[in-house]
Amino acid sequence: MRFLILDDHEFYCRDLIEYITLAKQEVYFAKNFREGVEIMEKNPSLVFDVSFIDIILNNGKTGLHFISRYESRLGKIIILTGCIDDNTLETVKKWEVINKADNVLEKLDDIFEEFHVSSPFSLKK
Amino acid sequence: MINELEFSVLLLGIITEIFLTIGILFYFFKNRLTKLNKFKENEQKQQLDILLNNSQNLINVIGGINHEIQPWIGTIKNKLIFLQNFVKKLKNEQEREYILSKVNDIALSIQSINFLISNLSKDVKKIKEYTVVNSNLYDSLKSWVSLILYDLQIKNFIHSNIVEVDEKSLSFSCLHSPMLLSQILLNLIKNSIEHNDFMVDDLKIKIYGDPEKGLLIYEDNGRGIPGHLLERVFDAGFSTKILYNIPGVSGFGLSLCREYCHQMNATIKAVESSNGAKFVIQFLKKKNCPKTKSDCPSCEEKQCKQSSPLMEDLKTQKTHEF
Repeated sequence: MRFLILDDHEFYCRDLIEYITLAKQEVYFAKNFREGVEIMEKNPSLVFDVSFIDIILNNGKTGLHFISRYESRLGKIIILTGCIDDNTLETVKKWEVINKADNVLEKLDDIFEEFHVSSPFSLKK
Repeated sequence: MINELEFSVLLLGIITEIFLTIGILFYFFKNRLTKLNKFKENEQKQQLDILLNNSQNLINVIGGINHEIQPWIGTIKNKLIFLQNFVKKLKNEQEREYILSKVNDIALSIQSINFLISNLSKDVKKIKEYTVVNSNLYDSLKSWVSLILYDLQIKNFIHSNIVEVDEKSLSFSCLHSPMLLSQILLNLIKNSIEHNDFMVDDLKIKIYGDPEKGLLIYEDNGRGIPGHLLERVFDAGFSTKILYNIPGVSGFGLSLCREYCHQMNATIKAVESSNGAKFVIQFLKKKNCPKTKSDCPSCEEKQCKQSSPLMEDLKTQKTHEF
């Protein structure tokens, strides 16, 4: 499986990257819009199975800008956000949304199960 | 010497002039009254807009804080999962169980913080939804107190009517939001119950007013607030419940009450009392609304960091009419 994580909270993403790596899957990480575009443009044939996209990125760009540009190559899109206001949730209701304060590693376990991949910790009871 | 005809013409002329004058005066005052009513409507609308803008700013600030805190909460939770997984592999069962229980406690604490912040965001959003009106305070209070008591009875917190609301002293008009007032009362009543160890049989709460000064006074016959903490109780995160080992500390109830008051352009204070806890809410009344910013009680008491929204609006007007 190939994952993309686009999120400006690098510290938050380290555990996601570690968990995906422990599951022996491929993961690409971009901490801003520019790095995300670099990844996609340098590897035009790269297609992801699952993409975790943050809404609010730096420099006025949002995850929605990125999605609108590369949606066909992002696979299953999961929005990562720290926002809980109605406007934001309304904007992204098209996709699955995970609040960063929620248990994202359990969500990863669900995805691993969906793709028949062994989970490193088997968090689901 | 004038004859009858001339007299009649003169009289007719005078009567016509009188009626004409009355007509002009009537038209003038009606016009002025219409303008005054429109002015009042605009003023009320402007006041409401200012209040709504301020609450939107607050919502934006809370949203911003929330947005930044969420990833850190998520990070801590994720790290705890890694730690749990590592600890499960420890051979010493006692050590393993001990560390796992501590990790579990940390996870629960993080969850509480998350819950608290979510509730704070919801509470702040409520501020925007609550319209401020200029109406009789007692009318707003009586229905809300009944609902609050009914709700508390349902939850078995109380079994009888422990709140007395004095109609006569609270029957005055002032600028307030009935919904925000209900939230303030809910917080105060719940605090009274919780601070008296939930022993409500002897608990009595009185709510009365001072119509001249536009005050609402809340008193209970409970434990009271220590004198040196009368200001601190409004600090976000501070609670006297810690002093008395009362569970369920959040420490945000009274700071929210203060914010709700600010949104209504009112102020709330805890005052010393020999009987129990006593809170005084000062509402803005038409009579005591000053003409200049320097006379504004809110500014003098430094309750708000900037001049109150109402005063900002008033100072731009040449005359101060109600």
